[in-house]
Amino acid sequence: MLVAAPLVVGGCLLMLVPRVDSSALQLALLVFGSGLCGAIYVVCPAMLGEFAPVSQRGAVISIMPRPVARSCMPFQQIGRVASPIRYRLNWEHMIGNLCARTITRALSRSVGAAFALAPTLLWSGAASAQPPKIGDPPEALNMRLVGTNDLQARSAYQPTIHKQGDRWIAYIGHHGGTDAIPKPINPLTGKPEPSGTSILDVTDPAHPVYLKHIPGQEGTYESGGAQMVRICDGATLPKGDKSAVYMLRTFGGEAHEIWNVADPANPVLITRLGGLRDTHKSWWECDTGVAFLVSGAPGWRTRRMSQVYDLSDPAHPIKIRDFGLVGQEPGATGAVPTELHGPISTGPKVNRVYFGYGTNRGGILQIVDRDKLINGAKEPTPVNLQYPEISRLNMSSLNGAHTTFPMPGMPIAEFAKDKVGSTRDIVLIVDEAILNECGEARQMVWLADVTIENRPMVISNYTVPEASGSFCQRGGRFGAHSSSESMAPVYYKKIAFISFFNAGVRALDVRDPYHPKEIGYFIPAVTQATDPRCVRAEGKERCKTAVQTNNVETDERGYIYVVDRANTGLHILELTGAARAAAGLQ
Amino acid sequence: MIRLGAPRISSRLLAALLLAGCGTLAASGDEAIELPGWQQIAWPFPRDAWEPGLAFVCISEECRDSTIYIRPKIGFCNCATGVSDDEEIDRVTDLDLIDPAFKPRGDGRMIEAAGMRGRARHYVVSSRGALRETVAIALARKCDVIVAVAQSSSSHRFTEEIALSLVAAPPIRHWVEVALDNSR
Repeated sequence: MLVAAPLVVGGCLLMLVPRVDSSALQLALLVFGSGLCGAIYVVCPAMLGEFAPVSQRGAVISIMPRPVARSCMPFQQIGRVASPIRYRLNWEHMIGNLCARTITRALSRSVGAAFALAPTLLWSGAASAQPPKIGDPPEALNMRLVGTNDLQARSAYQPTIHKQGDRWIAYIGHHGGTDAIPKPINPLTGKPEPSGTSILDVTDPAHPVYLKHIPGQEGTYESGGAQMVRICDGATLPKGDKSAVYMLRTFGGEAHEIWNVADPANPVLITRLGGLRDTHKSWWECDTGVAFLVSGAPGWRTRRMSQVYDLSDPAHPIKIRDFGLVGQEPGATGAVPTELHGPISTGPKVNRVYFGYGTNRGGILQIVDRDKLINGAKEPTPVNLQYPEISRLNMSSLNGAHTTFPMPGMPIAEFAKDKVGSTRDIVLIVDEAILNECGEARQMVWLADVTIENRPMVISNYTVPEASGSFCQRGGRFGAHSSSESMAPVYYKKIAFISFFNAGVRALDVRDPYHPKEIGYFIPAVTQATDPRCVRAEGKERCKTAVQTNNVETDERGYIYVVDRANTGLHILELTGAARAAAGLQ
Repeated sequence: MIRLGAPRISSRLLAALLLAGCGTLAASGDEAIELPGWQQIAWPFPRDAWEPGLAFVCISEECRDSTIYIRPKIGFCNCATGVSDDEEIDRVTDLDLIDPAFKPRGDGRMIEAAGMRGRARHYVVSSRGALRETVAIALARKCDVIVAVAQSSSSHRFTEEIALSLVAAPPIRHWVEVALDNSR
């Protein structure tokens, strides 16, 4: 209704225009009218961006990004020349946006604009469900692209960025290949290799250098690859080789491996813990060497549980114990509790481990006393499994707990003058969407106040508004998957980055965890490598191509690394504008 | 008390189930599906992470007092390995809705039904204060699983036969297909 209003007004005004008899005036109006039509054609998409309600803007953007860019290209070039290199893209975007907005607002008040909108509005309504196309620009707010790498068109899971001497190295875990390309070619060797771990030098984030691909387990999608990766320096581990840098990774679902990556271009395998299934999102304390390995151990009734290891000397792993929820242990009967997805430990000082169970259903946040877990009785009996547990937060059956990221001791500005409770222990819980095109309940972000540990309580939530981009129609998954997990001061307890599949990465201001606020986003552009995602509809398979931002991590410099499940590669980003200010970055 | 040596399901009832392709076909648990010898009842369990399924009680003499619950669970199956072991049946089926303390009678076995592969396992389950013979079936279709739990006062073999027959009945197969498609 709102968008159609100019059409009605324009038509009424046209009826009021008196007939013009003068030939000169007729000629002048003809020239003016033709020119106006041309101008409107060029700026029409930008105008739509202003006219259209939020719920339709995504469609407009997805249809007409090129004309918008074209209409303001001359102004962008001015910005390119005038701006310093570091902020070039920012100025381009700012000036481009300013141009579009200025033209839009001027012309949107004209009667002619109303008529020009008519066919385009009809078009946008018909095409609102179109997925992104190759050549479409990325979508961004307060985040800008610094550099990219295609990761050899491999589906990516966990990125971990580590400083090694003067270099910054990115380690990126991969899923298995696709049915079409089960073993992508590694250009460094010229050979097809089952996807495993990509190692890149990102010291210059604008020009990442691909150093090495370590093949993973053969198999496609979740059944192959080497999804998870964590890094510890030998100098930090209590019994490590001081000159070594250790990479802990999964090997498909069947093993955990430790490599020495001191020379990241020539990694050396140190240890393998095999005979497992469904290995996944582990956690490794570098200062103690204790690792919480997510595995499926023989005899356990769940696909995934924890195997706690002492990896302080990576060459000689020592098993501490198996751990899971009561009912998952060997020999139990009855209902089987939700499987583990991943733990995050706060280490011996805070003495807590936060376990997240479930992906998109039956989520549980389990708060565990780390000391009791490591030093308690190890036989997997119900009593021994229950002993270290402090409490659980049972979530709705409609949501899972992929990531449980602790943020203890957060000062809450609103509570600053309260005599009790002015700081709170917060856990960021991120669900994982697993079905394409919104085939499940919305998977999103929950913030839990766990200050009173035996009464954990969800205090707020966050999701990307679906209507802001028609994300259920874009193709692939829409919903949360994971958060950044770095505890480096640059963003910790200030800004959390959430991967949101076809809605890209989202920067979430969590300084007030009772009221989290989105302050930026970046949705990478699809490429030739982006793998389509298919659904069955009315008995037929229908495929769409959309970005599937799977995981995100940050480094201590403040760069943000997002990787794509649909083979679109690595995008290195940085914050701009208000989001950069919120992080306290210069 | 579990009654052993109960009569096998009659060929007449089996034929009726297999030929019941012209019953009312619907993808919603709210709409009726007609199966000879069975009466559809409302899904009796509280809402959980999955959409409600289909529930039937037997009204013929041959299977009187038998009940069966069927529903698909989207994305709940190991895409690569399907339903490969007994722990998987314990995890994915709806036994816990009837009795969270269910106990298996023994190892399960691989089965094929309705064009899908999976596993069946027998349990002793407490239901309304009595122990009942129960069979749980899980069939994999790519990353999805179709689960059925059947209970009767007859033998476990009989219970499994009626469960497999019902899962393979054309109206049920069609309902499952539509439910899987609509959930995507």
